[in-house]
Order: sequence, then structure tokens, then C-alpha cells
Amino acid sequence: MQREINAVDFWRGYALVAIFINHIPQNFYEQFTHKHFSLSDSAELFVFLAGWSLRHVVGRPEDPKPTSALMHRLLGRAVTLYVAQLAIALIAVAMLASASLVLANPLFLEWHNAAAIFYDPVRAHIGVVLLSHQLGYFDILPLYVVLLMSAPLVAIIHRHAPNALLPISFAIYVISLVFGITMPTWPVSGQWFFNPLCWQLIFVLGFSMSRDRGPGGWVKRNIGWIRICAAPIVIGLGIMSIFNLWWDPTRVPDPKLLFIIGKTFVTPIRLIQFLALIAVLSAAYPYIVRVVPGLVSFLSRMGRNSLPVFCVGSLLSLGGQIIRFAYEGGLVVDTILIGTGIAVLGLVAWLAEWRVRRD
Amino acid sequence: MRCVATVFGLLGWALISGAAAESLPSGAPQSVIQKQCAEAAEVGFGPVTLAHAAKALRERKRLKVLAIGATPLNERDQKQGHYARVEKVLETNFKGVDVEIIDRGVSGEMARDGAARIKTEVALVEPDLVFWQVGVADALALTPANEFKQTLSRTVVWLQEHNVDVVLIGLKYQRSLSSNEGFQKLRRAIRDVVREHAILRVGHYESIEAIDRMRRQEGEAASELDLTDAGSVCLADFLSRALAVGLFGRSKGGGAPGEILPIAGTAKDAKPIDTPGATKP
Repeated sequence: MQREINAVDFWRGYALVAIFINHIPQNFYEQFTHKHFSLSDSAELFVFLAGWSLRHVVGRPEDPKPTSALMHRLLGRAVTLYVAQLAIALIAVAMLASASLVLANPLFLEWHNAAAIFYDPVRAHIGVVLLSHQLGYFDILPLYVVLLMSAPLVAIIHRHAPNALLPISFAIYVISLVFGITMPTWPVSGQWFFNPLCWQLIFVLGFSMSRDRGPGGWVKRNIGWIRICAAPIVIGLGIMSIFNLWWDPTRVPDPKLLFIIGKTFVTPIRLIQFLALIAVLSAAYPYIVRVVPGLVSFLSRMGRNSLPVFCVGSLLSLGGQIIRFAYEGGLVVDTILIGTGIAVLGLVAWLAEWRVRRD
Repeated sequence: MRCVATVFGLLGWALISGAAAESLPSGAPQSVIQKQCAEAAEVGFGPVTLAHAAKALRERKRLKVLAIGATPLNERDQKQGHYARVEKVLETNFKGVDVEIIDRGVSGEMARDGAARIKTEVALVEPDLVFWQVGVADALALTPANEFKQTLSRTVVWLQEHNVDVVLIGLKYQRSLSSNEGFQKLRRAIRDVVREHAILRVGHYESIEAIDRMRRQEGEAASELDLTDAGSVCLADFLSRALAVGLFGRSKGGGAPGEILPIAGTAKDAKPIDTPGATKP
């Protein structure tokens, strides 16, 4: 049965649309997504809400689902995501190859980390399957796969020691920052763009905040004054983002990752800004529902069907980049691309629900 | 729907045209490519010194390099990447020198994103020198040349203020883009920044263009993909030579810093810093 419209699905739908727009760089509408006024962007929102949704899969402690069924469901979901990642990566590679042929431009073969696939295919294909080789803008789903692979562990700790979950997650995060621990890529040397050892904290925070007890319960009871404290953080860091008023990262004390701004390690300042942002934004949802119910319904449907929408959105954004280059961009091309793309994402969500209703 | 149709149309057209299109590199022997690299490299570098990097070598016998931008790939050299090769070439030619290249490349990253990340990475890695491969993602995303130039300039100034040398690895030569106005504007923007800030640039474009010319003169016109292949193979050589010249060498010609001029020699015959006649940092 279809879920009722709710804030989680709405914001997830918003995150999906924002990711789609942001992944066509230099398009006119990119400047209107919240990443231009904020340190954090839609990636944090997407991962946080994934953690929040996990809470509903795991169930309440007073009404626990059988452990085996829970493990089966969580690992099954992880495998589904893994297969989806491989499929969209393969299609993306074919799109880049096609663009290089049709537009007679071999630069496409080297775009978004695709060079290894075309010029070092033996090792790169192993890397793609191992998720150690990721295409640019196709690197958030591998993080999600790893997070869902670890979700059974999250569920077990939550079941047996719910108050230990957040401290364990926080400890892993701090250790990764202090020692700069990250996940290497292969065969192209480098590191995962989204370091799972750090991003897991956002996932676990989403899971914990959805609870009515523990930290989640405390936040819900005190959300009023939390918002009062959060608003100046959002405004202050927003102004600093717009005017690029950041401190010199070379002058901060060691361990530097605790004090600098970085997406890969989702460093503390970025994390704090994100938490402040969602505290403030969560107040807006009831008003948004009242003012634009149609938009809420449209985005919520996308949020309810996030995997197919995300996959199609990733491919559409790559297609959009190619089309922008071919037609030399401009407001008209950007409007057509973004408008059509969002309509297609809405159609994908509708088709996903129509298929379920028909079955 | 139009996007989906376009994407599938693109795939379909590629299938139809695939047979007639250029094949993947036919693969000239690597020795031939390397010889051409060596000849082409003569047009690639300018008389600019890497003062901070040279100082690090003189005082610590150690050079720490941060690589930003798309990671170069050498498909013919699968046991080691470009940067490992650059390290090896420099360490072989300059005994007692320890070169460490830390690769923090993100392929597809535009200059604006790379510029933001460079500051963080400089804070974390504390390099003496930055290799910044820049321009390809911006060319494909149609970044306005002014915006691109401003971003480059600001970042280069920031690096210089922090006592870090920078070598820009510019756009690749693509015959099909040689008359593309946007592509050429970005290329000019990189050259302008190099001149204005007296930094070193690896003339990847000019070098591959020279290889293209050589192949034509030899009666074997190279395909675009052959040139891409040659560019990948040559880049490690170009980088090694650029670094050797910037650290130890001197240009024959005069001219403004960063100007594209022939160089006096290669890593093997470059003089060490303290040798009379060598470029003082």
C-alpha cells in the first residue's frame, strides 16, 4: 500500500531533484539549489534520510521483526543497490563512448574517470565490480551500498545496545578524521570521493534521530530551542559560503581534518552546518504542504521511489551534460534539459507505483 | 522524455556509425611514440623556475608533490601510473633525490571545485609543488573563459602566497576541437594565467599537436584516438622534463616567463642547482 505523503519522502524527492540539477554543472538552474547558500549539499540530506528510512525497516524495539527476516531484507536491498550501480555505470560508459563517436571527440572517453575503462579495461572492469573504480557523479551509490551492507550491524547494535550505536559511529568518524583513514580507489590511484568511514555517521544520525527514544527523542522534545540555536549557524555559515569568507586551512592546528572544510571526510564544520540546516528546514514542511500541496505530492512520489528515480536521474544528468556540450548550452537548452529531466523523473516515480498497483 | 529519446538516439546512432567510426588506437610501437614525445617535448616548456620546490630539494633532498585534477593514465604501462613514472625518472636522473607524488586527482572535476579542494589538500599534504591538470571538464561543461581564468588566477596566487609552486597541465590537443572557440578560449586563459603569474605549464596541447604534425609529415595521419593514446604515453615524459627544467635547467632562449620556447636539454643533461650556470631559484 502506498505511503501517505510525509516530510521524509518530500525532502528525499527534493534531494533527488537537486542532485540531478547539480550534476549538470554550469547549467543556469544550478545556482538556485541550496548548495550555493550552504556548506552541505543534497548528498548529506540523501544519506541522512536513508538512515532515517532504515529505522522503519528495522522496526520498533517493542515490536521487533525476526532477525533472519531483517537481515535477509537489508542484505537483499544492498544487493539490489549494487546491481543498480553496476547497471548505471555500464550505461554511463556506453553513453560516453557513444558521445565520443557521434561528436568525434575522444575527450569524452576520459571524462568522469572513464579513461581507465577504455584504456586499461582489464583492471578497470575488476575495479568497477569491486566498487573501487567509480565514475564521477556516479559515486554516491557505492557509498550507499557500503552503508546498507553495514546496516545489519547497525540493526543488531540497535536491538541489543541502542544507546551504544551513536557513540560507536562517532568514534569511527573521529578516528578516521584524526588518522586520515580513507578508502583507496583502484586501478586509478586516489580515494573514494565519499569516505564511508565518515559518511556512516550521517547515516547513523538519520537512524538515531528517527527514534522516539535516546538522542532522537531528546531532539524531538527540544526541537524549539534547537532551532533557535541552529538558525544563526545556518545564516552565518550561509553568508560565509556566499562570500567565501573561510579561514586559511593551512593555519589550523593538527589534526587538521577536525577544523577544515571537506566533503570527502564530511568534516565537523560541514556536519554541524548540515544538522543545523535540517533542524531549521524541518520547521518549514508544514507550511510548504499548505502552500504548494501539488509540489509536495510530486516530490514525495519521487522520494517513495528513490532508487529508480536516482538511477534514471544519474543517467539523465550525464545525458544532459553531453547535450549541453553538443548544443553549446544557453538558457533555452538548460530550461529544456532541466524541465524535461524533472518531468521524466516524475514519470519514472509514477510508473514505479503504477506497476505496483497493477500487480 | 526528450532527454531519454536523445540518449537512446545517441546510443543508436553510435551503433549505426560505429563500423565507420574511428577504431581504438591502432597502437604505434611505444618506442616510436616515446621518440616522438622526446621531439615534441622541445616545444612544451618555458624558462620558469620552481623556486620553492628547488629549495625543498636543496635543503631536504626531498620533494613532495600534490597532483590535482584528472589522474593521467598510461594504458601501456600498467604496472605503474604516470606519477610513479615521473617519480622514477626524476629519482633515476638526479641521484639522492627523493620525490613523492601524492595523487588526489578527481576526474571530471572542474576548476572551481578543484580550486576549493586544492586549499584543503595543501593543508593536509603540505606539498612543495602542485601538478594541476585542468581545463578538460570545464571545456566540456562550457565554463566561461573569464570565470575559468579568474578561478585559476586566484588559486595560483593563493598557492604562491603559501610558498607552493604550481605546474599547470593544460588541455589536450584534439584535432576536432582545434577550431572550437570555447576550447581555444580556455586554452588561451591557461596561457594568460601562466604568463601573468610566471608559473610553469606543461604544453601538452602543443606537444601532441607537434606529434600530429610529425605523423602527417611521415605520411601516416594519426586518428584522434591515436593522438589521445600518444598524449597519455607522453604525459609522464613531459611532466618529468618540465620538472627537470623547472628545478635544474635553463632555457636557451630568453623571453617572458612561461612563454613556450624550446628548452636547452632534458633531465639527463640538466645541471644541478648549485652548479655554476644553473638557474638559481
